[in-house]
Amino acid sequence: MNVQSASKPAQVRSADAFQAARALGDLLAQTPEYRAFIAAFQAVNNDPTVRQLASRMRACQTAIEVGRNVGQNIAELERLEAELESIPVVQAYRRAEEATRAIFRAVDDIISREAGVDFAAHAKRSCCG
Amino acid sequence: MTKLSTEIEQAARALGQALRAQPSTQAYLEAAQRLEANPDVCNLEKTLYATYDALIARQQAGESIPQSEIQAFYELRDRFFGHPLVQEREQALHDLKELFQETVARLTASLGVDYTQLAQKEE
Repeated sequence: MNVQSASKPAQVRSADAFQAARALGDLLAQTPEYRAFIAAFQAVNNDPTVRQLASRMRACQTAIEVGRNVGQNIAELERLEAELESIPVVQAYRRAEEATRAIFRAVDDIISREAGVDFAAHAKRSCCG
Repeated sequence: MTKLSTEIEQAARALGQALRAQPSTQAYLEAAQRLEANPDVCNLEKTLYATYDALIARQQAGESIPQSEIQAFYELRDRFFGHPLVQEREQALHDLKELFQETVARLTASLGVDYTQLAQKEE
C-alpha cells in the first residue's frame, strides 16, 4: 500500500491523474503517427474536390431526412461516398487515422489494465450529456 | 501488436496507476465486486439484458411485442436497478465517469483532438 497516496487529500490525488494525463497527451502529440494524422486531416479538409463531394453528400442527407426522393438520394449518397473514398488524399487520411487509432488503443489498453477499469469507454460523453 | 515507445508505455502506466489510486475508482471497483459476489443480482442482470436483446431482435424482425411483455420487461428492469447493490454501483459508476471525463479533457487539451474518438475499440 502506498501510504503517501493514502494521506493526500482527494483533490491533490486527482491532480496527480490530471498531470499524468497532460504528460501522456504531450507525448502522444509528438509521435510521428499523430503528426502525420493531423497533417492528413488538414489536407483532407482543404481539398476542393473533397469539399465539393462533402457538400453534395450533405444535400443528399438532408433530402433523405425530410423524405424527399429517398431511394434516389440513398443511391446517390452511396455513390458519392465511394467516390470520396477513392480520392488519394482521403485514402492517405484513412491510413494515417488507422495508424493513430492503433497507437491510442494500445495506450488505452495499458491505462485500463493499470486502472482496473476500461478508460476510454467510461470517459466517453454520451450524446445526452 | 502495436509497438509503443518506452516513454509512452511508462506514461500510460503512470496515468492508469494514478487513476486506480483515486477514491472514485476504488469505490467503483469495490461496488462492482460486491455486486458480482451476489449471485441473485448477477442472475437478475443476465436475465434483464438477455430479455432486452431478445425483445429488440423480435422487434427488428417486424414482430409487434405484446404490451404485457413490455410491461414485464419494465418491471424486471425496475427490480434490477432498484436493488441496493445495483444503486451503489450505478452511483459509483457515475462518479467514476466524471473523474475519467475530466481526465480525458486534459489529454484532449494536449492533443487537440478528442482522445476517446481515437482510442475507442471497434464495436
